[in-house]
Amino acid sequence: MASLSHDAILDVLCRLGVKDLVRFRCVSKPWCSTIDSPDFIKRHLSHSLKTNTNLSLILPTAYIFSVDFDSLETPQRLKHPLDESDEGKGTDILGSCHGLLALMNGDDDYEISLWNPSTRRSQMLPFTDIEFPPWSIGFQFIVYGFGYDPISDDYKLVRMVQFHGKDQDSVDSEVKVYSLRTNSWRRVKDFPFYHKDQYQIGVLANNALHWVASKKRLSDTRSFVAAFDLETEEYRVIELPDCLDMGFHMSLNDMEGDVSLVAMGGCLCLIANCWGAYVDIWVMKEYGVKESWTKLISAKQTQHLPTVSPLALSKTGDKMLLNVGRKFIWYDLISKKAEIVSIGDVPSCSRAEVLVQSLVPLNGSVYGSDGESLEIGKE
Amino acid sequence: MASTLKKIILKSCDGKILEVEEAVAVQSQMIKNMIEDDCANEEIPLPDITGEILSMIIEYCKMHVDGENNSNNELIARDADFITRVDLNTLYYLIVAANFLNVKSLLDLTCQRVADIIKGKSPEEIRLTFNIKNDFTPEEEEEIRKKNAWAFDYKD
Repeated sequence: MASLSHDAILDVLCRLGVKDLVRFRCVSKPWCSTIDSPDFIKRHLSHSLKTNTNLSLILPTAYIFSVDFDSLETPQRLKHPLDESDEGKGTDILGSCHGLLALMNGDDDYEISLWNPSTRRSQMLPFTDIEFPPWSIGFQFIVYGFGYDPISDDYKLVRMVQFHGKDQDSVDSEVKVYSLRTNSWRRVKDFPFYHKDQYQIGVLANNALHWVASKKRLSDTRSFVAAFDLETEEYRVIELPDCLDMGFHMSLNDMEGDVSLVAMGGCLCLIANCWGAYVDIWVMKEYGVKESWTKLISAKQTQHLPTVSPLALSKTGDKMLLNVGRKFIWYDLISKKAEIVSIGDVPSCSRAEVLVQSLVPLNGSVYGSDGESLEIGKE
Repeated sequence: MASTLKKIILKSCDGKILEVEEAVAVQSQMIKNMIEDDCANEEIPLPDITGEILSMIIEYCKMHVDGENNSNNELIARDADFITRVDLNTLYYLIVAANFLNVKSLLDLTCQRVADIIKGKSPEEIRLTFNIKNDFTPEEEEEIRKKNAWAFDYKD
């Protein structure tokens, strides 16, 4: 009987799912150390990312649900590290990268945990104070973002606190970065712009986190995308498409409207929502190139139509999964046809994360080693 | 016409000689490099590849050259048809040969096939499949199993 070389074994193993690999650790000592090695973990991750395999759709509602991205069938409710009370009071997902999710409890204790749902490992973040500027008595809100820095091979969680400024037009900020490698927080340069949306989670693309921002709070409210580079920890500006600015601000005067960001297939994606009139979905095909903003979808809305939010691109990239009101819809970008999909009994949610199942390690112990993920309807 | 096409001569480790059209042979990056370096004018000996395996690889490469104008789905169907006819032992030899000859798409296909076969199997089945000796003590193995008990709850 032929036997395979170590390299061929690696080539086979990197095509398996995480559950198989965790089980195969007990095949032999060499298999165990291979599967645990950082090189293999990276190889497995990059194979999954390159081939769009091992993907789940994570749906945060009152509970967190997960469903296989290929089939979108039989969603499972996941037991997660901040779900101890099991009351479903709502856990926020602060970001997702390489199979890790950053979670924060919906209540006010600001407890943050990193979690790999595929290996069921998690790690609580240490607490860090907010350093208030002397003239500020309170903060407006806190925004977060989570991503990977390939230079230092580190996962970073960014916390930006926006304070009321010295006058009505200005704001101050405190920005801290948590590093998984050092398991500690440190303060970095303040955010030089004004965060427009307190509910916007930093959108990860091109190793940078992105938020919709403006220069000033009242006097210069023109929207752009502010980026925080996870490698250099510097800020930069990414311009929105010109025509969007025009139409958008003209309608902004008499109607409510907003722009928000998501990432699709590694590209920045912009949702220009002019309530009651239209929703446009744009994608920045070439990162950082303003001219590459392309309008993918333009949908007319009436007052009664629910909001539209894009969730994910299909494997082949020709269909977009949208959340429209309480429904999930596959929108074919070529034929421009929509098809309703049902994802089990999952309640509607306005967000979803495409999670690549990975072996990326966390230092904490296994979470829920005896508690299996719960199937819907089964308590 | 066909006779004017350049042929590459391959020799398997068990002495089988196979004449292959250049267009088919260059599916192998290794042979392509040899042709570019003008080293493929005489027969190319292939140690470690038997005539049987070599014929299968040539059949695969020919299928891809002939199917160049076919749709992607047709090629995927043909690949699937080709690979499901192959037993595990032959798969191993194909992987070794595809790796040596550097036929990227065949290496992908064969490795994926092995992965599909071992998906959902138990560690015991894996040891049998790959002829691997369990070098854990029963205590050590129990410890690893206990730590990730959830991964052992599976059905295939």
